[in-house]
Amino acid sequence: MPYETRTRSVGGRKGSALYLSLTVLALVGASCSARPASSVDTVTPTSEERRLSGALRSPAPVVSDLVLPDVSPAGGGSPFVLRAKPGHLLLVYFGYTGCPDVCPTTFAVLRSAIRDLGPDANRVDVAMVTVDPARDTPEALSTYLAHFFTSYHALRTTDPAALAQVEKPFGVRAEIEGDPSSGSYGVSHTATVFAVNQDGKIVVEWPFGIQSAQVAGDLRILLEDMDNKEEMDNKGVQK
Amino acid sequence: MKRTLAVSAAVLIALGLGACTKSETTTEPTASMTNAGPAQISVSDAWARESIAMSNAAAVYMTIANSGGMDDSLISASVDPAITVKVELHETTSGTGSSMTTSTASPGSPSMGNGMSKSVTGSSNGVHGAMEMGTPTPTSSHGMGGAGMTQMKPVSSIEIGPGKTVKLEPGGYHVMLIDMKKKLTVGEKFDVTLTFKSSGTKRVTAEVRAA
Repeated sequence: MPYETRTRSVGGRKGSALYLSLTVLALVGASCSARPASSVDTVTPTSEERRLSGALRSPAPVVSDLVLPDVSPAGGGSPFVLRAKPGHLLLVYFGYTGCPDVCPTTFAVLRSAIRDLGPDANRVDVAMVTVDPARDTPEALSTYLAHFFTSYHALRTTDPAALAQVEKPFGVRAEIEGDPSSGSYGVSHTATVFAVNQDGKIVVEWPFGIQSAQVAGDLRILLEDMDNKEEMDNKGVQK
Repeated sequence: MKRTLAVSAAVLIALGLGACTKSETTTEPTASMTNAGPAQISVSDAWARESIAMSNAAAVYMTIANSGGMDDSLISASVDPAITVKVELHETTSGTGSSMTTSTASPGSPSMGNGMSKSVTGSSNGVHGAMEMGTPTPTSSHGMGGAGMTQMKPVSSIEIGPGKTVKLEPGGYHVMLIDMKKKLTVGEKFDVTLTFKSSGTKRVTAEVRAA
């Protein structure tokens, strides 16, 4: 029963959050020129906080000093730096392939949200960090991700210290439940999805239960912000 | 005037009675209309997520309603042994949903040592949900991550109180198929035998849907 309450509360906010974000968008649009130039460099302008459905931390944690092997066929085990390509966003999720409930639900939401972006879909990349490297072989992890996404980064380290180092700035925790030797244990883990920008900053994070329309809406806003910033930067250069 | 009303009412009733048995279905007890009798369990919308890649676990979801007047609970489930013999009732719990409003330390992780918990949630950075329009101030000293740990654990039973409907759905309760010998593919159907404490066994057909 506590779960029912939870889902209702998440779903219930959806409408009002959307309405409010639309309202705020309109306000922001009207007052764009009034925005101080410095706000571009600050992590989270107040107006932005109110536009996004997800949550953000202030200051935004920077994760671009973190590196994990990308064991996907495309990655070939080479080191992957946790930041988005220029002009892209990188969605980072910590999970495991034996997770039958939360992980596939989350990935289905992300897949749907990314598809909603249309031509901008290829500007959003997905990385999954396995919290169960013992069972998630490179092949298991890669085929799992391939089920949902055409391109992905399968991040895996068998060094617990290296994994913990990556989890820390995200605020992620993971812990094996039950007997690891049983082969069918579960792993408790933080089920948040993090969006990281090209500077390696976490620009928004979505809790489990977020709807794909909310994720898509946030992605659109963040991509648009990046485009606007780039445009402004270019103008600055021309001067 | 009164008489015409009474007559038309009588005619309406007669018409209603004569119409068909359909009208009777509306008077059947539903989950919200409890009777005083024993538990009456009905199960609907049973589905399972397709097997993903090499994963040998899958979750089965459904809606269970108890239109009776007494408690009942789901105590076990089984499927064709060709799929798996290992079936458990599971519950996913997490602090994520509530963390947007009132962030608290993750409940239900007693095995988490203090040291570990501190080391990963030590950030004093505030996290504020953008949905929280009225309270733009930091709501928690724990990161979203700290509050948002989901945990999947076996439960011995799932209670369905009198007049209650319990949804087994993503992020909550599910019937977990473990060590599966066979992959589930979209469109496939398979039987799930559910055992209830009072109502005994019920067999439902689950449909496999895309992940």
